Amino acid sequence: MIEVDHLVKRFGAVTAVDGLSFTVRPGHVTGFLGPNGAGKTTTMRVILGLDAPTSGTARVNEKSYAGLIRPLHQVGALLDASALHPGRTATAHLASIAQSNGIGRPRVAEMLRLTGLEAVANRRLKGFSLGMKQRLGIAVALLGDPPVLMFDEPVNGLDTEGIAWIRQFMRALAADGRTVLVSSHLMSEMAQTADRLIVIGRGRLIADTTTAQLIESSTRSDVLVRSPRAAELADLIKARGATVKPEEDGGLAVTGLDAPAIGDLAAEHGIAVHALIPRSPSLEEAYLDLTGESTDFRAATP
Amino acid sequence: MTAPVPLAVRARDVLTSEWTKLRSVRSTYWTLLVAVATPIGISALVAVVLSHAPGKQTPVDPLLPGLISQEYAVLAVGVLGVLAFSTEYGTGLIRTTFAAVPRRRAVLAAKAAVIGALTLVAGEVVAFASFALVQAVLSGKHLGVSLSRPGVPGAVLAGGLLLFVVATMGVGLGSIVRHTAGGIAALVGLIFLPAILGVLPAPWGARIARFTLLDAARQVTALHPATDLFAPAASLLVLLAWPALTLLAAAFLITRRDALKTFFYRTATRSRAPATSPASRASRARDRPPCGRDPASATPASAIARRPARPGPAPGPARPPKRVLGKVF
Repeated sequence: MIEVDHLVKRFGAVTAVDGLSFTVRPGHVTGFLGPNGAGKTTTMRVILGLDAPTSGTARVNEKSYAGLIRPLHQVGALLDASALHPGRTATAHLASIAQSNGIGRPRVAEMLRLTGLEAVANRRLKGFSLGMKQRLGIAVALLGDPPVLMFDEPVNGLDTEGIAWIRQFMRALAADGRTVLVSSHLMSEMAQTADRLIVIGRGRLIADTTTAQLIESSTRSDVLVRSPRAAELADLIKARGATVKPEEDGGLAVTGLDAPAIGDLAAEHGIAVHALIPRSPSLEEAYLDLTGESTDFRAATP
Repeated sequence: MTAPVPLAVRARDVLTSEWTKLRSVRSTYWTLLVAVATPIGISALVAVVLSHAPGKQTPVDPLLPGLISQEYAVLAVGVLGVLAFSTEYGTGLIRTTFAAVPRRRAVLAAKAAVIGALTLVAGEVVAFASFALVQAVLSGKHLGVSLSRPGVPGAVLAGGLLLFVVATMGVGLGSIVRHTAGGIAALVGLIFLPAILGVLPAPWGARIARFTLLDAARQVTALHPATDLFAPAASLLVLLAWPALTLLAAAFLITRRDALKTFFYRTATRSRAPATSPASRASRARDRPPCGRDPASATPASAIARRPARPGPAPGPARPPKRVLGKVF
């Protein structure tokens, strides 16, 4: 479990995290979503004790990270896959980190096998592609078999196969009962991976909900109605207090009345309906609804 | 949770980890090779020059060639020491290191210990090898001293300390400066600038020189110590004080700074008073205007927000014309 409580982090005049509170529970993949610069990485660094919070607290398994002994057994993290010494081999890189937490060689070999890096285990890291570095970073995170895992933008630089691998991997870790927090600025990615979402913008919490709920609550959910007597039907729907927006091709976009109700209404008045399609927005659209305000503001800033 | 891990085991873990890091990069071997080969070669050369000097007089100090030659290895081991932290800060690996070992001073101590041990061994090898070589050359001219002469073993042993002192000082500076070039510059400055001041006219030259690292090292190893400097025992303290104070400063800073090296980090340290309680820090932070939300001063926040995820070529007309290549070929 990860608990962040009224967290504030300032870098001089820049407020990176501004009173953020949330809890990440075990058993789910929790997406940590926000535009670049929203404060995701800073929050993760504070959770890992790398940056000191200006105020507020971040706790892992009810302890502050700085107080953990052999922390890799409790929290595994992938922050920046490129953060490695280019002259070291993959094995030496993993071994040096493993040794600091009393983790033996067999586990190092096992992680290399698990992440598919066995064949390049003794190659120097400068020859690694970003995708291979991401895999190595995941191997580091899993070294101590920790119950809490954090991944910062893990799919960056991965090919389609790699993305599918990591997606399935994170789901398996969560199904195992682990706490999994994954940050991303890619909504489409989160839609396919995360069960729960923590959405932040400009260092503040925007939403803490399930992925399904976020999409549902979006103002963009509507019903597309096609009818040969569209104008007539539109008036009837409006009379029920719903909003109707005519679309260019003659369809009606109805919000405030669900599909069965519209169908019943049309049947009552003997109006034929050719199409009745409930439409939900993509996560991306739902997200834009949430953050639109701050995004617009940001774009307007000179 | 698992059973508590004894401190000794944790110390061993961090030491093993740092030892693995040290021996898994090539720079370690190169710097050590330079640090060992250069002084041995130079001391042999100096001995040959001295033995052919006209007048057949005894050199100032029969141990001096062995030590002076080590001064040429100072830079190599200094670089080795600085690199221990600066490469980790430069690549960002330091975050992984500190996430694995949140007690940062343990990392500092372990790095200083493994590099200190390695350079101490190297330094003693160099000191005794140089001694043997120099005396072999000088004894042909009946100018040498024997290792059995009182004071000589101690002086040669002390001569092996120089590399250890400089390397551990480099570890401290690498941790403070967090940048390879900057760390090496700081090391060179601290070692050689005071030595330059040592040539000031008496009594100021000696007054400064007695505190400098290189003069202290010469004093410690000299068979005939200079009279205007500290005695060898006090000079040994001066010699060891340099890395000790550097590492103390590093230990002080290492827990007080974010494990982060960015522009924002630097502005943060400038506006934050050192070592305050979280509460007072928070209240001071509250007094500051919330610049992030003020449109008039929101430039820094918006600058981060608009920072591209990955550096790439600028789109559109900003892209450099490709025709240049065509003209060349």
